[in-house]
Amino acid sequence: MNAIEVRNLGKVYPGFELRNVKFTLPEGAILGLVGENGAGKSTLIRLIMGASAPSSGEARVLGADARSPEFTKIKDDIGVVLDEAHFPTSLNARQIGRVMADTYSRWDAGAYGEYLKRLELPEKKPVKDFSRGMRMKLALAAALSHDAKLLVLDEPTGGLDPMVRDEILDILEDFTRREDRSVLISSHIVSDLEKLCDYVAFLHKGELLLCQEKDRILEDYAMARVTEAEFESLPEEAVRGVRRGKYGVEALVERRLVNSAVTLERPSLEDVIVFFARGNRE
Amino acid sequence: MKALLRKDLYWICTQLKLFLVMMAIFCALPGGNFLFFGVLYSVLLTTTTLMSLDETSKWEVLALMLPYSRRQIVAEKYVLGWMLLAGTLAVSVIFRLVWWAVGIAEPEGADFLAVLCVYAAVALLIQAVVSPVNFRFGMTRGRILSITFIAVTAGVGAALFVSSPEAAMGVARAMGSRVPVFVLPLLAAALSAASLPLAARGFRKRVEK
Repeated sequence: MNAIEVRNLGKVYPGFELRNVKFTLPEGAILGLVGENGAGKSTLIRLIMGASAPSSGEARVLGADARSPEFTKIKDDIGVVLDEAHFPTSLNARQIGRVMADTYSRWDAGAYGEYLKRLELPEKKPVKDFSRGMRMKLALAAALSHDAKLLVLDEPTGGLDPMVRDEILDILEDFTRREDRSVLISSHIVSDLEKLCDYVAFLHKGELLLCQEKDRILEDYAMARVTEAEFESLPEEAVRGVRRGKYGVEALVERRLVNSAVTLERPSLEDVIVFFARGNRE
Repeated sequence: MKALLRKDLYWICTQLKLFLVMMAIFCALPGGNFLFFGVLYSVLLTTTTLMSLDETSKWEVLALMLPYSRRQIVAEKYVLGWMLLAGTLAVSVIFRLVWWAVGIAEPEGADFLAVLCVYAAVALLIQAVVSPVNFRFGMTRGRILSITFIAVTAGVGAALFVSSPEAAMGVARAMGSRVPVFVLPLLAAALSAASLPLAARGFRKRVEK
């Protein structure tokens, strides 16, 4: 079964349009949703979680249509972490635990307590006195303490220092050790996703430019660092993005379409994303 | 629903303790003038203050992704409003009984109960008007619209009374003689309950746009 199936999903706002997004997240996999600020990542997550109505298309999550009434029950199997914790600010971690215990049918107070200890979160301090990192860790503890089958995370590591980011990524890796658990995580920090994800989807200005297995992306594409004359000899259809500098041309190319005589380098995921976003505009 | 009620009770106990104390004082003071504020605030606490806190903390955004239906999110505010109103009325009755027992106030009996009925009816009517508006437009615009509506209604009523006091009193007397006072809060409660689906629809429109 697929954890998430998104078919031709669209949403129109004044001045912004999410267009015809299609992708699938297989059960047990981690999909990283990459895109610059304002690319539409949060809009897409709201649509997938049924929090917003699509202008077109549909999203199915754990087998249910996100717009259907039964999806409210399905959300019992989904853990959510948004870009800010969004908890009532005068409540403390213990009180939030009690609210969540009444929210989720399989809430595990023991697991929640363990996460609070592991993440060094005080139980009696109000959330308003937490740092951003502490709030995100609290949101993660709440999302992981009810035996969720799917985690949906919207920019969980944005604005955090590298130590906290690393801690959060470690916890997510632990979560996915069980094969039936899936994760959809959005971020504009590509290095975080490179560490964690099986699949990468790249959203740019409301359009999904790329959605593939991460390893496949790194195999299929390559960086060509060449002179202007060599660049001109590359087949036009092979070039996915280009940057011209003083000392030559850097181009992201589709490996299979380029003559083997050209020296190609393995790209980083960040190279692929950046060059896809640049396109052939120069 | 239980989770949402618990969350709001925690909000009240941690953030709004002072308002609870003020409501208790208003209910405790002899005479009916202050009591009105206590009764009124029991409903406004949920329809405006708690909704503002939810919006400010962005709880609403998270709540839409948790296993609560939109209807539950709206209904909880109504239920909590009714619970607080019932609590406020009970507290005011208890204080009156104590004041009469210790001789601080004269027994008012049926008059006091009639006053409570009118106050409860007004509070429930305000809930029936303000809740759908706030759920539909959010607190910033909703508050302005609600205040405008209440001000215009009160203004029109006052203008009618000033322009033709005898006619207005005649209408009031005729209504009073035909509708027993204890029916007023029941009618207002029915109106409040009837406004719930409207509020739920408004909330859906706002969050899904």
